[in-house]
Amino acid sequence: MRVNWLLAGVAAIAAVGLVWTPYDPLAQDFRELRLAGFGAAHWLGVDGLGRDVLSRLWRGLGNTAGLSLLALGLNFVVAAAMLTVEETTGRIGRTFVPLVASVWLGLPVIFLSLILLVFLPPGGATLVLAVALGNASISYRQLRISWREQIRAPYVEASETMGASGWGFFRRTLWPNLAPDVVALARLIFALCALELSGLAFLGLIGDPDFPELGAMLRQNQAYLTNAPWLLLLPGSLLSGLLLVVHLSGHRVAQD
Amino acid sequence: MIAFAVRKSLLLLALFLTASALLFVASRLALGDGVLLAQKAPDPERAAEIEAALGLHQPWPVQYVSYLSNFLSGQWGASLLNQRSVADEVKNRLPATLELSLSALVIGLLIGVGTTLLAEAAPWRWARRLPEALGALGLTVPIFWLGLVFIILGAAWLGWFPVSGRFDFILERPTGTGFLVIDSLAAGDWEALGSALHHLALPAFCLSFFPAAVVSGLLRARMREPRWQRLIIALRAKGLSPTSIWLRHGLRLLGAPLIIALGTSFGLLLGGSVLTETVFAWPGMGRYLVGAVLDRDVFIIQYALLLVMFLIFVVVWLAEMLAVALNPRLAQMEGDGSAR
Repeated sequence: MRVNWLLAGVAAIAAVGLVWTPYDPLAQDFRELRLAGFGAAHWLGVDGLGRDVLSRLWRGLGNTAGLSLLALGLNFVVAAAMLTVEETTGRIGRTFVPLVASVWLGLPVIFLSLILLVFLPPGGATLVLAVALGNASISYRQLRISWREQIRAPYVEASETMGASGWGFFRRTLWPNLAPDVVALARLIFALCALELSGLAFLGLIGDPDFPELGAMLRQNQAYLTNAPWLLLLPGSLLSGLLLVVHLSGHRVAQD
Repeated sequence: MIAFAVRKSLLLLALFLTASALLFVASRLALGDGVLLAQKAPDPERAAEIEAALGLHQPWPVQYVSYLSNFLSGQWGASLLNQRSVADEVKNRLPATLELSLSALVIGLLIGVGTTLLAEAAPWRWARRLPEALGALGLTVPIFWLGLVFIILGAAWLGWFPVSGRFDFILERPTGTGFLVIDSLAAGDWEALGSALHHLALPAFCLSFFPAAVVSGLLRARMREPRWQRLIIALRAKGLSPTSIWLRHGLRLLGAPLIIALGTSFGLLLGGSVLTETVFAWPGMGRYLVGAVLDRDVFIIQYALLLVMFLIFVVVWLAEMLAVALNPRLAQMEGDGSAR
């Protein structure tokens, strides 16, 4: 298997941001001139509250990517559970699960999140739950298509006739054929989760306004639109860059 | 076909009931066991009075039924915080959101169809990558950041567009439907129309990337089908130019799936407008809802959010019916059990 070094590198940088940044992303440096721009001590300057922008961006990248990954994992668990219920409960499951999924698909993620936020406290965990559930029907539909395609294939029947079953059967026979579809789906869902999560954070629904997350940073820096536009341009470019790397990694796999 | 219409309508009705039940349960969970009342009105008698006035003493199923009937009859109550009537606020804000979303839909349709036609019919090589680039843009660039970049470029640096709001506050605001573009046209007030369009331009363009990506993605997928390719070869053999093939045959045949896709993306558009409204300080439903959620203003959420979802379902329903009327074969295809 070929490793996508660009993607791995970006993931490593984001992971470093979670445990180490040049400064504490919440600490205020009152000796620095606020919004003065780039400098030697603070490479990307300090923001309106005197906090190091580079550290906040770095931790923000880690937080956005990390929370989106958590949402992706939860999303796949929910989608796989829906598929399992449909496949194992016979007629009832086969009728109701697709119906529930189509109802679900009709609700835009942002409104589903607003419903959840009516009774859950605003915060990172609530947002992860909201975007994971909001996109569950998309990944359920896609997983179902791939699963059905594979499970009916002649090679699966042949393996079953030869006595393969259980985990080994899944791992050795089905998974190698399912994996490309699942990886492509994961890429899509990750991008959707990251966009929606930072969007909800931008709306102020992540709770703590100082939480270093790219969307929340955009919200806080909106006030400096005219006198420090880089405070707005940088977090967005960073998020777009991350998603672009994720998006392009799919193209390379497709071409190989 | 009638069976199809009935089945679709029943499904959407079930969808609406489920959504309203979810919303109802969420808002009752938010109210808790009178915790909110205990904070606001320490006197137990007064608390009981308020509870009775809001109908909270009844069991949940009864409350749910009266919630639905109140919604349908337009009695949406008032905000818990400032006692402003929800119906009045919605009357002011809904036209703003619809004006923004519908303009974005029109612009997006033009961009989507335009880029696809360019990619298919234009002789330039770069044009062929346009729809792909549009799709990639939708998956990589957050729409709210795009709005902020537009403001920085178009309003702060170039100074061509206003930063926020919906209308110039020195001008007299035309009244009537609440759609400022329509109202100023009806009044024949060109200055007001100019101001309304001037304010609308950036947010509508920003929001139009959603429908543009949906339209161009759908058109491109359809055009890749072998059936289309064969039709194109036949039409080329007949001697038609690429432009007239796409304008006269392509668009007409692709109309039905396009309408369904646009209807389905209306929800996406309203969701996106929540973000766009926040960026451009557009006085619409999105900002109202987000503010209400942050304030836990349960009655606003309960009715205003249900109204938004109701609108989404109505639009999806209309789109499905229109598409089937255009192309009755869709009903049969659905009957075969194939997924949409």
